[in-house]
Amino acid sequence: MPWRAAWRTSPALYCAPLLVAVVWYQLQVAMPWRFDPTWLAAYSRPAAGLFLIATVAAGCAAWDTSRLRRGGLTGWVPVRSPLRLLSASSLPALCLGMIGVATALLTTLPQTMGAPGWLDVRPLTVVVVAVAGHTLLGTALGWLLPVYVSMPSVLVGTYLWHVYPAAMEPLWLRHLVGYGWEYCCPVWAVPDNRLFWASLLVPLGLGGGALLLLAFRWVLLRSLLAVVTAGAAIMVAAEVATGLDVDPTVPRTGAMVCEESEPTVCVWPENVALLAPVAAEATRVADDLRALGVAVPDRLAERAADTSADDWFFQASRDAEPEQLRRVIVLGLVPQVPECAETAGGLPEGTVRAQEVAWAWLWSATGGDPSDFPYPDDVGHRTRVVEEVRALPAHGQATWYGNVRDAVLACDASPELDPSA
Amino acid sequence: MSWWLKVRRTPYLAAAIGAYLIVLPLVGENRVPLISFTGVASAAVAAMAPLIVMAAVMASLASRDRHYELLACRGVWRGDMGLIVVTAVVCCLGAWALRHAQPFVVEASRNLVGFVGTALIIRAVTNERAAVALTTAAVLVAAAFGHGRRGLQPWAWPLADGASIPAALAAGVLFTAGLAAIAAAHGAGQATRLR
Repeated sequence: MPWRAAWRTSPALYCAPLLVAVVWYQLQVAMPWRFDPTWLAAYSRPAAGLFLIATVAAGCAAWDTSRLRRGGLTGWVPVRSPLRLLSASSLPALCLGMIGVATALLTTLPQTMGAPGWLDVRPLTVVVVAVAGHTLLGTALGWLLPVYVSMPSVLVGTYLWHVYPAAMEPLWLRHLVGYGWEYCCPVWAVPDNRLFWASLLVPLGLGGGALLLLAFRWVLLRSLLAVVTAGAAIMVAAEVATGLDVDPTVPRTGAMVCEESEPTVCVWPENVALLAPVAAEATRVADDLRALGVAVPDRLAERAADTSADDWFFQASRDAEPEQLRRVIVLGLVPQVPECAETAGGLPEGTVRAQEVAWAWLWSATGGDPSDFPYPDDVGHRTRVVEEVRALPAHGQATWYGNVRDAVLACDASPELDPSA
Repeated sequence: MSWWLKVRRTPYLAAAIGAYLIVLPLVGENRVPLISFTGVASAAVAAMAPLIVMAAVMASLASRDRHYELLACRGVWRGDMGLIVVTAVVCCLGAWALRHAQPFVVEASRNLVGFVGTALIIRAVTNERAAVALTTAAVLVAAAFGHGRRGLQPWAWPLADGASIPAALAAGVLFTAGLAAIAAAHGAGQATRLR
């Protein structure tokens, strides 16, 4: 078939503007960024449109090849193989899918401008292979089945394939269809390699199975080979993905950018713009607390692979206001629940409340309003305790905070919050 | 009659009805999450199962030779309408009989009637193949865009609860309009023949 005829008669031509508009709307308007738009996050975001792009591309491929089937090509003995015949026919659908991926990238990449970083091929590879795999599957089903079976099967099947695993248990099932890429990743984390291999193997298996369906004429042989190929790929991917959490990331390693202030502040290169404002707020917080006699660590850093519960770390958005920065910096000083809570029979009663009150006191001691707090529960009690503690002399406040902190970390008794006790 | 039954691929249509009635209890009360652009929602898998019957009805109607049938003495189009009504009635009664194994029989039956009606309307202006593709696509569009911030959009009736009167009315109107489209297409064909 002349390539111009394939393009002119394909629904891909009419679907392309619609797909571009919907993908743009989804990624630009409807779906907010969960993390700052780093390069990795931007390259991962097209995966959020995969359910749509792959469905439309596979549907167009099934439609195009069903026309060849209806034309009777299956009953002839053409010189060219079915693969070669169908490759020209399914090319518009494949290009449609790639247009969808390119639209997603063009929508997200401009938001990374100005931030250091560069291409991460893993999420892009997964998305491209997934679109190609489902397009091949649509091509094969459109060729082998009547259009009345292939079209609903391909459209609904591809859609359900991408959205249904997110509602299934165990949780790692969703990573077989690339769900874990949709909100990848905060600046301090990188995707687990197991996510990459699991989400890559499944579309490779589906695409390989579809190719085998088209490559052989013997129905039994091709069906057997296709099922074995796709099944083996899915089983290996399941083995790889087993145990992955909802958020399939690992802490990031590498060099941070630091400013030798008091305390020393370190951030990831993408957040170098945060360095000066965080250093200013951290110095203010440290000065306020040291004036009360509270010991403050010498280093404040963003979370990393070697961050422990004892370290002073923070997470902040690139466009955070100074007050928001101070809030997360203070949060980093709140005593974290140690691992003993999981091994020694659970968290002692009142530990979480003690953490909230400690945070509220730290916030108040560094110039904040203790009633202006993200936890709406029990505001009156928290505010009253903080006001009582704030009424104490400086060393009394430091002693109260030290006792609460030690009690939370000891993890063996309910922390005492009453300053008069 | 036997010619008509053969041309309408009634064995395949019966097989599709059987498959639909087997799928209904198999999917049970499973719900599929909808990746909606404007809200978070889910839909019963059973509510999508009528697409099987819709596709089978279109395949049945597609196997005719339009020109022969326009010249036939008998009103073949009446047979088509009867076949569609009987199919819908059998599916709805079958689903009702399975109500203990499938809690969404009302949604499934309403959607069956609405999907067939939608496909018949689209078929009147395109063809059976496009009707199958576009009706399926319409269901997916409803899934993606149907849930607004103020709840379900009126046009996304396939996702509505079984108790929704507007959704039932919409499905009924679509079915009636679909049947009317068959009669109208026959009338248009007659006029063409007379010219």
